[in-house]
Amino acid sequence: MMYQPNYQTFVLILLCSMLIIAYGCGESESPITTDKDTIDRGTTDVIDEQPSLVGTARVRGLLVDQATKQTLRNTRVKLVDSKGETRAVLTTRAGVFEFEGLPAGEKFTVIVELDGYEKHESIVTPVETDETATITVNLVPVVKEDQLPPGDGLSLGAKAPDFELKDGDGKAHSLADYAGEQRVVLLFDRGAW
Amino acid sequence: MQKSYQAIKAENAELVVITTDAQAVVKDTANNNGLEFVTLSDRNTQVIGAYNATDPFNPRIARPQYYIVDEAGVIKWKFLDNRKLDRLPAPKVVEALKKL
Repeated sequence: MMYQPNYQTFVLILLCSMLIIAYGCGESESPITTDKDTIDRGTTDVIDEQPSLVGTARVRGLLVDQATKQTLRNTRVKLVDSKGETRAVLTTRAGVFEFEGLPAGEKFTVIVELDGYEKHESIVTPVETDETATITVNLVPVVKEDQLPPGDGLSLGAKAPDFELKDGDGKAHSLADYAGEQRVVLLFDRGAW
Repeated sequence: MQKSYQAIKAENAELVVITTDAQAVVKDTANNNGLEFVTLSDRNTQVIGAYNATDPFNPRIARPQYYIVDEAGVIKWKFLDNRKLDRLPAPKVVEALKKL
């Protein structure tokens, strides 16, 4: 079917043109330019940022391995505001992370999840306008239990891994069923194979 | 273990046996031998693996071993048969429960 230009299409094109012009005029004050400046100054790279709470306060921090005291580079650090909106950056080669454009007085949660470490969560509040809240985040390495040879089971004092398995009648049982109430004699057996 | 089951219960403990037997086999074994304790089927050795209890010579079955897990979920006692064949006489488990 041939396309027939009509009055409606003309109005649509006119409206689009007006929108494009309006956007073009406002561009010089657009926050996109500010973001670009941030990156050019060599600070941390902003991965995703579409927060609705904005301001002039900053949170700057250093990410450190608590055991070795070494800084941790190229690690994702998240900042969650009271609305649950998340900003995220990667730490620099020196282990530094920085969030800009934050509203002062707002409570933020700093979250770091890195393999081999316990999850870190801490609260930070930049109080005054233009203030930079500076924090050190110590990541705690996950302690590995003493590994016994294959088939030799787990060590005394270790936390018994929870499980959920079915009995002969298809009823599910888990170790947690007994927690706080009874001790469990756990017997691994070859069975009737 | 059935003979000592009441003695284990008397120590405020539950006996839970885990094997790679299928559910139907578990049921038959329990019915044929009048077993009252919980026997669980770990067909794909998921839990046996998590407890590092897989038989090094036969990855499809468990190497027999005994644990006492306290109310907080911590392993307090363990028995592993060195000859890989012998099972521990049940009264020894009761003894261990009493000592802890």
